[in-house]
Amino acid sequence: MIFSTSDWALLAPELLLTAGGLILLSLAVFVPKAKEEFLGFLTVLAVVATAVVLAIVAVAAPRSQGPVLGGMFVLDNFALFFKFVILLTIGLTVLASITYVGQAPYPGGEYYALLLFTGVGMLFMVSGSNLISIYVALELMALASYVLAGYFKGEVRSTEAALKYFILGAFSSGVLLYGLSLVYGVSGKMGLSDLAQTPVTGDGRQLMVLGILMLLAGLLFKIAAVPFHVWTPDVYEGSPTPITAFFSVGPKIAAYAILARIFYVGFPRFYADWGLIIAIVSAVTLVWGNVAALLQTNVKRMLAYSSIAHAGYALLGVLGFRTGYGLWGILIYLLAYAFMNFGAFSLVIFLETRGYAAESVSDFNGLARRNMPAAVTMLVFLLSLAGIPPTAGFIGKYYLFTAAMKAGYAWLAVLAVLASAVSLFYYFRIAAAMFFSEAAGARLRASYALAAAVIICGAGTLIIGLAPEGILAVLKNCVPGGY
Amino acid sequence: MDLNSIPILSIVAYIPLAGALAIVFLFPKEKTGPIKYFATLVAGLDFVVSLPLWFAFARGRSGYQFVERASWIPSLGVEYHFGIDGISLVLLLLTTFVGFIAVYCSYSAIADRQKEYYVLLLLLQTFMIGTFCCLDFFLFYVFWEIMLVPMYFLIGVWGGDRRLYAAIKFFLYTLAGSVLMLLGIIALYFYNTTGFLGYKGLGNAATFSIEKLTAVAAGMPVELQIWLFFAFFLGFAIKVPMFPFHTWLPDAHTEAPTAGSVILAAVLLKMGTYGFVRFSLPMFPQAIQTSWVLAVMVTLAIIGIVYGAMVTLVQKDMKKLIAYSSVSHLGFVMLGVFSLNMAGIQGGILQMVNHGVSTGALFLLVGIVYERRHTRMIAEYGGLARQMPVYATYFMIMALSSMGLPILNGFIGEFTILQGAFARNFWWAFSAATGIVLGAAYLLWLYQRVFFGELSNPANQKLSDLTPREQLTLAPLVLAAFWIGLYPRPLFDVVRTPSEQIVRALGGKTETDPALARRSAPPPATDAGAPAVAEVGR
Amino acid sequence: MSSRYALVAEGTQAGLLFLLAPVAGFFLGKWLGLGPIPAYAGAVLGLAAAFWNLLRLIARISK
Repeated sequence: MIFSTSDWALLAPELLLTAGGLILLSLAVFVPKAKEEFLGFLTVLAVVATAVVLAIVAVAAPRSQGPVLGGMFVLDNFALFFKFVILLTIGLTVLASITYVGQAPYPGGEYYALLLFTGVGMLFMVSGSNLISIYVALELMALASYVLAGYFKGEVRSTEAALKYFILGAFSSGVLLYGLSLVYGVSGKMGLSDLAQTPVTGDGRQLMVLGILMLLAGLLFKIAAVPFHVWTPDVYEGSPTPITAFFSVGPKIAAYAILARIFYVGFPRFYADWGLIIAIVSAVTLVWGNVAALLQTNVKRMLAYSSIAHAGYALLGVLGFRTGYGLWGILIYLLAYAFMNFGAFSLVIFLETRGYAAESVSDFNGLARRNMPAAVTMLVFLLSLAGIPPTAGFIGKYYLFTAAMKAGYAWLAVLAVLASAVSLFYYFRIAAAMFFSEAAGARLRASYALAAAVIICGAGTLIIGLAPEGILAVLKNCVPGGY
Repeated sequence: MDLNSIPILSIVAYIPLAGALAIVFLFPKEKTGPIKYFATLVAGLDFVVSLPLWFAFARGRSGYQFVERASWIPSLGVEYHFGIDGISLVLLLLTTFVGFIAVYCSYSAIADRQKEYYVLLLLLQTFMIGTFCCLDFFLFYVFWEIMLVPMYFLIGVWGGDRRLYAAIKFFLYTLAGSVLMLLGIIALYFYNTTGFLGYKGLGNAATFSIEKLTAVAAGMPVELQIWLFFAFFLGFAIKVPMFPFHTWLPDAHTEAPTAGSVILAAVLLKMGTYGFVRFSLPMFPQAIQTSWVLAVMVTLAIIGIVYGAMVTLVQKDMKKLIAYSSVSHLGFVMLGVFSLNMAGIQGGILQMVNHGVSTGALFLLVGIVYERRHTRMIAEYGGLARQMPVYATYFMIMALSSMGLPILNGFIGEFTILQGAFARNFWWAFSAATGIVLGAAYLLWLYQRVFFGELSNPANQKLSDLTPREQLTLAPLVLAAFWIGLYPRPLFDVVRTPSEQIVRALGGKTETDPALARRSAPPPATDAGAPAVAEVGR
Repeated sequence: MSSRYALVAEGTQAGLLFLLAPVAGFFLGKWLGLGPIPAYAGAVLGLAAAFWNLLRLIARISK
């Protein structure tokens, strides 16, 4: 047999999460709408249990000496780190959704189950060491996401968002698959470490690069970089807000993880070809994302463009793969991004659960008077998104700027820092509304679950900002393909 | 107790932070009285705790004192590294001094959301002190940036009519400059370690230590120095503010609440000039002495002096007038600094302190009358001297101080700077002198319009003179003005050694100008004008 | 959409664009010269154009 029993043990987290999803699906039939909170907490339990199992596997199982399961799956520190981040994002999403879904007239059981299935897809994605296994896992994640985007069936925007996401996503997967086939056609290999070693010469090289570019295009769609970002504002605006929050962190981070792995392990030799393209994509994304965000009045769309811009910053890390800082930068930045972006969205969810449409910035008016801790936490997230010390966002951006400078792209570093400064303007529109404007109304209180999510994000942002050494020391060992 | 053995600098820096946290958690927001008194107590305590630094500081010793060092982010080479030399010492004392006055003067100015106000003021105090004490570039950058946040809120919540615009303009403008400075820091960091962009690195251990990196930068090839100089230049020049990056200043100053303007003028503006003196000068000596770079800097400084003064003349709003006068005054400081000699640099540093004292006081004075009449327009006033004689006296003293009248502090600084500039180039000194003349013009004209003449406006006829509390906020500044004006020697002693180091780094000569020594108080027993040159070993 | 066949035609056109636009972009870039980069950039832009076209189609349908 290609794989042995010990290999199954490595899959324990994914299996557990799948089981959790299936159980939730069956339970959903029996649980009435009023008691749906129970399902939510059960989901959180499932996530926590998976995290515990993951920790056990991390400690007890020896690191893969090579890809297992027929070369499809690898459990190195890189994969472990991202698995934890993914579980974190799912947990946060569930916490943030409990009240939100409870207030909406749609069944909650399938919602949570779908979240868990998306999680399974993402967990497999980051462990994939073979282009095919990565692709299959990507599709699993994507399919579950499409359904989640359209979960609020009765709302036109949600259905439209799902439709757009599905069709565009399907085409992007097609492009990705085509690129994959080109790569396979030229090199005859699918495994990432094999690809790194296969020599490619002459005409084959051009075809190979074309394949890599199409692969890249498919991935850039998933991380919403310009010019493949067109789906993001509409999908983010239309989906239910916790799902938007989830999209902006979970699938994006997972897609980044596979982008990093593929290009770090699989195609480092072609750096000369794809390096400049990524630099240009990064530059365009930064400019476009920030400028478009400046022009938005709808908060969700503004945050959507802001996450597009952040994808641009993270690409600086990809550029810096040859230096010590590139990979490190991506890891710390994505972790920081998970906390700060989800935190910002949670506060939008908070307003929505308290009856606001949370469409325009003016819904934030006077939040400082009505719930000061919420306003201050939002301020921390906004500062972190803009990259002001001493927050996690600053540490992440610092690494990325360093990576860009070291890789020789000083012009891009200048562009990135200026974009970062400019971004403050639209982030602080929210801060100005919260602190400087008045609004009538009584104190706003958050539900415990949502408050827990916000506190976790806030703590993460501040701890990484003030005492990053701990996490940095851990990340030093998270190089993919260390085998 | 030996101050070198306790982390005195951290204590001074974090007392306001502790006070702010105490207010947040221990005082409910209705108890405005206790909040105010507690905040003043904390600020006063901070000043008192910082005073021993003045006495314990060893003049004449090169290098930094009261050094504290701990590792913060070893993966990057970032340390928590505090220490001061003469320049940072005087600015630190200025900060605690003015900070206390700023807190104390806010009692009647702020009526709404007082708890948040005092918390922000104290937070700002911590961040400013931290910036002056830092000896690690990364930490410096953190403090430099984070300072902007409380100031943004101070302007935006408690400011005037156009406060939203002023606040975000202030934040964005300053931020844009600082992020470029960050790139400069990164470049420096890499030059020290593994190199970048085709420059081979020096291969040293990674560090952000300001001392080490200063030495590294001074050894860089000139082209690279020039690039880095301009990267840092933007960050500092916007803060100074130098022409043409000064446009944020009038808005921020006018719209900020009184205490905000005082702190902005007295301390925040000094960050820019401090940055030039502490960082740019020792780090990029060859770049600065490249003729075109020096020409640019001096031209901008002189334009700042003259243009600033001319614009001041036509202002109708008192606060804006004083704000533009700051541009002019700081142009003076920049001219002194870029004269690159002992007189110029020492004069520049001294003038930094003087400007803090005089302009801070002027903003306080304007704030006082604003609280009574709620207008800052000069046309609304006239003949106030009859109605508010004490106020008029204070105003006259501080206006004369700002102008540079002998006996008061401004004269010492301006004269020294002129000496330094004159030693370089007659025309520099000439243009600077016109700035002084214009300064006298706008201040005297302001005074005449506001205080002399008929008490024509009926609204002015019932104005009350200064209350004891208001006098208490002004008196320390007046005393400081006279003290520095009559006996500047202690200040000169403190800043002499670091200035020597800087001038030496620039390759200049460091003998104290005999004329300088003669002019200060009768020489005590120790060396009067003897060249304070250096067996001060490195 | 007036008839089903019109819809099929539109859809096919959108799909085909994914194939043709990158190729066109690639050769356009190659014709511009200066090494392989413009060619690749052209291909990428072609893809982006195809996506954008698809998005517009969907927006039109969902009205």
